[in-house]
Amino acid sequence: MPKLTINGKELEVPAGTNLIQAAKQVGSEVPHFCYHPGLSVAGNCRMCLVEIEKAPKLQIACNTAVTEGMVVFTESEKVKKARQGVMEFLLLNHPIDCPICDCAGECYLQDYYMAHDKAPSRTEEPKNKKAKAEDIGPHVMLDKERCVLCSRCVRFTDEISKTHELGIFGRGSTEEIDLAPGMRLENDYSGNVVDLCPVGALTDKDFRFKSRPWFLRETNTVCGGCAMGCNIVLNTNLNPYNKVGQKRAYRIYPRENAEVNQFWICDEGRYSYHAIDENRKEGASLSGTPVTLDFGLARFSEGLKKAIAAGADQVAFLLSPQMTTEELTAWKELAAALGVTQVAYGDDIKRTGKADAFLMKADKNPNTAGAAALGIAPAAAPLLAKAADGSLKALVVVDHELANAAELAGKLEFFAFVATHNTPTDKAAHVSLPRAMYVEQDGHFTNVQGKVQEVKKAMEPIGEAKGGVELAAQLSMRLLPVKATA
Amino acid sequence: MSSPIFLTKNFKNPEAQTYDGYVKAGGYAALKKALTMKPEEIIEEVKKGNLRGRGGAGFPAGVKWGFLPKNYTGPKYLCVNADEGEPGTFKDGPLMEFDPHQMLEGIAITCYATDIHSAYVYIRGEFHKAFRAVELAIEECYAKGIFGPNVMGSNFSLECRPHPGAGAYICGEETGLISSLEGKKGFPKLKPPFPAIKGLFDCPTLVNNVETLACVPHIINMGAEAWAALGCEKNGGTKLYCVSGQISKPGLYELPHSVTLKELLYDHCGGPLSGRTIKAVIPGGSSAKILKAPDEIDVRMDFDSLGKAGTMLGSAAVIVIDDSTSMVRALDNLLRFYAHESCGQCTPCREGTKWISKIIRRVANGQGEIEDLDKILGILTNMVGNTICVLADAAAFPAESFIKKFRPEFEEYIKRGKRMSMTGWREEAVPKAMAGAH
Amino acid sequence: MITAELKKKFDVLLGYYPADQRQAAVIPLLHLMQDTASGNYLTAESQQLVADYIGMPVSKVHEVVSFYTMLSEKPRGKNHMLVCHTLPCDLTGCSSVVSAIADKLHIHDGEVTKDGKFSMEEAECLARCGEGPVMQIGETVYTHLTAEKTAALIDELARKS
Repeated sequence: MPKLTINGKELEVPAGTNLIQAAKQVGSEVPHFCYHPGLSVAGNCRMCLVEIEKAPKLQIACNTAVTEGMVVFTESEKVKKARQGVMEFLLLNHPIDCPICDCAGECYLQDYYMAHDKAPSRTEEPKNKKAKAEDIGPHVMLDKERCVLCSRCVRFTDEISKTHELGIFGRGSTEEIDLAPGMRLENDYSGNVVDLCPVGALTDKDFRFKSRPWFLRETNTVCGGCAMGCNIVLNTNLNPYNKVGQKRAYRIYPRENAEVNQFWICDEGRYSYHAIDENRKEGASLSGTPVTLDFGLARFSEGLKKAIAAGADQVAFLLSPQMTTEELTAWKELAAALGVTQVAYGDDIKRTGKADAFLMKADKNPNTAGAAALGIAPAAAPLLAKAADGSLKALVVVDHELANAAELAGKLEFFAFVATHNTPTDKAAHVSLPRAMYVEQDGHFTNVQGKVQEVKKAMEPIGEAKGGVELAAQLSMRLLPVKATA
Repeated sequence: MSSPIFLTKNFKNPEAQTYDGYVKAGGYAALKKALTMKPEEIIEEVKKGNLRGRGGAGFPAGVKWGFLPKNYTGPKYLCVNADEGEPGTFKDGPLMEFDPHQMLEGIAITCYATDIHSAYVYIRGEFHKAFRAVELAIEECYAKGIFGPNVMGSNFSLECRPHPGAGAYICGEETGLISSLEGKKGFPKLKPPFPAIKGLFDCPTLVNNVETLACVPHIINMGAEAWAALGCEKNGGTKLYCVSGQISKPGLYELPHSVTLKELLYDHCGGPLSGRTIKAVIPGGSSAKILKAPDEIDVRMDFDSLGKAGTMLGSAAVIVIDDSTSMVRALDNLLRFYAHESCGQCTPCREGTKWISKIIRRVANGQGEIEDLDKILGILTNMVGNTICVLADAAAFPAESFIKKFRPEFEEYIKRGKRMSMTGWREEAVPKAMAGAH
Repeated sequence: MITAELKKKFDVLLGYYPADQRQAAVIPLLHLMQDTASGNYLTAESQQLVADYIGMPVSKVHEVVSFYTMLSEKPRGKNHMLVCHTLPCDLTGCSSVVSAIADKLHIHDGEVTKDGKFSMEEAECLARCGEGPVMQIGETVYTHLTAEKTAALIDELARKS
């Protein structure tokens, strides 16, 4: 492995490492716009120019691989001047409309200006005018004046989504990013170009004008939209104090994971954060009528107790691959403690949807593999058939939408539901408890690759909702005898 | 007074544009001879002949040929750079129009020497006549066995096709040309890797100028020493010089590679126009730093002498400016050219060329300030050396040399506060199209 | 529409390049497409046709069309005048050629006459600098132009069109 020196510090890195990556390892951040580890090297922004001993000209760090004995300076006077030069050139025709630009606070131009430039503008010439606020697709807005022509978005549509909607057209300083003739930016991964854009040229229509990023908190977690488990950051704003109807979740963007999603997330997953605050079941209910959680738990445990007393073989639990492994474990153990043996996670009735050869999985549940690994039976069909033909007295369902819910409510003596959102099944059930979503509890999901990934609690459960573990604990307190200690 | 000519000797013989006429005039004898030589021998001859690349860089051709990987079994390519676009240059067009077979013979010998079996002649799109001439000549070559599976009956195979450009100066840059040939915008490529390692279609590629290749048959015919002796140290042969601008006899001149600029302008081109004095001369295409007349023009027109004099021979395009002309207006013209031709790929060139052209336009329109001159010089220091290709340098060289060498004239123009005519030092109205935003 | 005749020419040109590098033929094909179109320009439709024929994304075809000055997305006149305005021609008086055209035809850089007979483009160096001022119309290059010669040339071409 080549040994080299960066800013006086020695290091050894694998052959093929570029100088941006190598410099990072000694704590030196080389600024750059066009370089992105998930895309081909473009080398056009020239912001990453660094000084290399024995090289007559500065070299771009993104396209220079380490060699044995290389001596690199990333903070020399020459480098600083070059960076200031590039910044000046980029700001020449930039509208600098930060007050109305979504990107402010997470903008490379702002950050690099403060870190590497701070020089006042020298230009007296009129700026190039280009189109602003152009709707280029269902999720993305384009502001051509803010664009620094790094070509990240074009490379994304060529190399990752392979849908070729974008290009850089024209020549020279008036060239601009635009849609190919007759196309809209309509692929399943279109939102990623907003993450890639280092400035406010590409912004997310969904996030537009909703919040300044410095008001947002970041939680590293995993997307619950499908079995892929793309690593994400969830942005939340918990100030003001979140009341019913107040938006808490603002944005999801992908986190790097070389083995799962690399740097990307599909649009379905990206915009799934809406479900965190919309149409949530915030309290317990009895056949649709709201009651306190305490009352609901009481009714739930009464109904279940009665059914079990009549025969645990006539009780079934239909759990969900939406639940964390911890939640599934708690409910599995509760069932076992109650003597309920008919437990399934509903592999045959779970949510499914669009799949592709990239990140989107047909299984729109984040923890199917987790449920299977716990040894819970997959098929719901036998249980539902029994419920329909009257051989089941009680059915507890977690988060599965059942078409014949009303019918079941009529047939079963005890039909209980545990859910995150308000649905027809929720209204039909005799007793319904509110469940916290995966962003409102700590836990784990196992993805389609068999990887166990952590989900982190980003906010308190909404209303009176509780995580599945706590709900199971509450029920077991009411249903199981207290074991004497010592 | 007339020195021997080789490159242009068939120009007045239209018959030589045909294969038969070319052979009658002595053509394809060099190729026949070359095919009996070892490829390494040919490369040695070209090195000894001191053949310098005539597209602009002046890099020794034989050395460049040696950069290709040896014992390489995959495809390699020769790209002929016929994208003549450097302002002031008009030698490759005539070479193709009036003696296409000379270039093709050079291509064949070069490919044989470098084990290349596929050549494309990249001809700028506006050169319709030259394209047609080359196309016809190539067809003849296929018919006569110069191109194809057995070049002149040998085991050497060679395919050769013409390929048009579509109007972009940057396609004269060797990797811009390669990108264009690959069916893309003419964006120069990041180097390393260099074209000899990874060029056209990611294969080892040699890019050579038309004139450079046209010299090759002559080197083989007369031998390297004789060719070298026609020139001066390290610059062999005769050279095509293009003279334009404010001079009595502009045109294309084939002269020994040892002629001086003074001799060229006064002994061959008739000196200045009547009643005028030569003020400045660009010696090697608009990208070459300008020389003041009469002080700086007693210099030999070879790559090394002009390099020592702080400028370059480049494409040997001599542009003459006399005392009737405003250096400010002249620089405005050139900086507009570079801003128009910048491919836009990298930040310093895309923004820098446009910025300095906006500033000089404002100055030329009579709205300049003295500080603008040093501002331009400062901007240049952020452009030169920091870009993917040297178009930024090519814009910086005239900007810097015009302002530094004619500073008093620039300051006088600015103080006057009016737009002055290109020639004749008359006040002019700012044209409507130029008023307001650039 | 790609006529059968055009397809034949397309296929000859495509044969010049390796089979896995069909996009290398995009400029020659676009030239043919443009030169045979009425108005001598490339519509979005014709760009899509070329993209499909080659098997490359239309975004890449459009990038090429928008980059090179000879390829136009706006209709041109029957006589498209390229008037060189780079330094050597400017030194020898190209501004009188430009004003002669403006006086006679009332068009400037990038404009077409109402009858569609003439259009004008101020072009960069056409590589005939020793014979300037220079103007190129189609394949013909006119040299040593003056205002009078330009006006006479326009009259002659107007008669022929």
